[in-house]
Amino acid sequence: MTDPLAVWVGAIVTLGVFSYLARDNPFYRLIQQAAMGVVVGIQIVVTWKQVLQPMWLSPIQGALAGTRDWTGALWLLALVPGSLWYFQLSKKWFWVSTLVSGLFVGVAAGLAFKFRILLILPQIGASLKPLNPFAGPNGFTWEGFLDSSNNLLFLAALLTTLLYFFFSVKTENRWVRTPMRWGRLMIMVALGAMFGNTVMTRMSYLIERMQFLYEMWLRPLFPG
Amino acid sequence: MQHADWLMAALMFAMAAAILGCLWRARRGHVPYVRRIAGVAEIERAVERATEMGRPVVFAMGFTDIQAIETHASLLILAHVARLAARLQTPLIVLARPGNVYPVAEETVRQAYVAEGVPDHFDAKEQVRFLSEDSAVYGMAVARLIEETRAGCALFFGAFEFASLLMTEPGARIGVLQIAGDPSLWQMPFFVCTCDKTIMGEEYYAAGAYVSPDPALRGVLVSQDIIKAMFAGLILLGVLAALLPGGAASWFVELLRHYR
Repeated sequence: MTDPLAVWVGAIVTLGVFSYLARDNPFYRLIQQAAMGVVVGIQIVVTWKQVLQPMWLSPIQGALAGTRDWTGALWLLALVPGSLWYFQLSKKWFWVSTLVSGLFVGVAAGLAFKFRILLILPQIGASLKPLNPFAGPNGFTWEGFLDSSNNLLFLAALLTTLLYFFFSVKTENRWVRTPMRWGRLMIMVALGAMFGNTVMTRMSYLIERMQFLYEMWLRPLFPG
Repeated sequence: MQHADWLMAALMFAMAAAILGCLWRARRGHVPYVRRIAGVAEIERAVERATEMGRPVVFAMGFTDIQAIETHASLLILAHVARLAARLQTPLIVLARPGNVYPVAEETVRQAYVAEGVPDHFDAKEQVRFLSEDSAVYGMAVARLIEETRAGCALFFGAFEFASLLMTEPGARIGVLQIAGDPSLWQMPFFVCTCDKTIMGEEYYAAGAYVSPDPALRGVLVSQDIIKAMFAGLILLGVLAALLPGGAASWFVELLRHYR
């Protein structure tokens, strides 16, 4: 059974957010700023309860009290690089923070290098689609021809989109400019599909809110 | 632990060689050609328009931490915008989300004002603001600030999450000139709908290198082109190998396909 107070708060907040569709108003602003405050509050609690306390403080406390493995005390060492970040707040000692931020940038760049290869190689493998309509087990078929045409379109879209993102190539040449335009068109088609997909997701959120307003809030108010 | 096989190792070696080679050439004074990116020229026009209107320029940074490459590219663009704003004496408000990006953003803007010879015009408290670590709160606060300051232009550069529409929709509604750059394509449809210009995918990194006075960054950009050409070449070779009669080069096709 849902708490009626929670339902009323939910309904008022939902209507307050929807009121923005008419125009910006103080009620919407109140809800917006209340949401900001609530989220910040939740974030502080979550950071403490789910990260700092269980992952950092508890192992240290356990190790010092002798109830857990001594290696938990090693987490104290995390204070050293962690505290270096706070030197960002000092203009004089700012450079100290660059030691730790430099280390993080280096690690991130190294990992990005590795992940890029791991991301791209499977995509290259997946791009090798059959283009020959005569190569099927039954020779030439209409379905095989359509599949090959589809794969050819895919390959053209892939290569022209890649070409669009070449920046050191002069675009005055017609042989470069035309495929680049085709690549841009392909990107727009992909973005349109992604946008449509996301609009559908947002519509499902809207339907869920409408269902909430009708079934949880309005129907109990007017049971007849 | 899974180790790289010979093809992966060769590709990583080739990528590293391309980056180091282009950096070396750029450092020796060979500044490579980089084509003009439409959105970058539009940034300058947007700042000039805000100056003419007597309204502030709002620059919202992305959601990534200081160690992310996306953040460093957005800092390069921020430095460019800050130099323009300092030169034109246009109020600039920078909004940073991760706590560790905030002081770096402040320092970037300060250096831009110093470089333009107007360090006294920089007001750290008013101009560089930390809003929140949370995406939704940050998005709402950016939107509210754009509405309340009636910004002359709003620039969004970085990797954004679902809050992209939340941030840009109010500005689009009240007619603020907005330009967004995001290396990820997931938020791009929303930026395309609500912003006047967008800088998408790899254009985002290219924009950072394009506006930076450091020739080494242009060198890196060329190395990225070489790496892309390398991968495009692998795809073409794979497709051609698959078309060869009798499966003459099927080992090559299978080699590439086994990563799927």
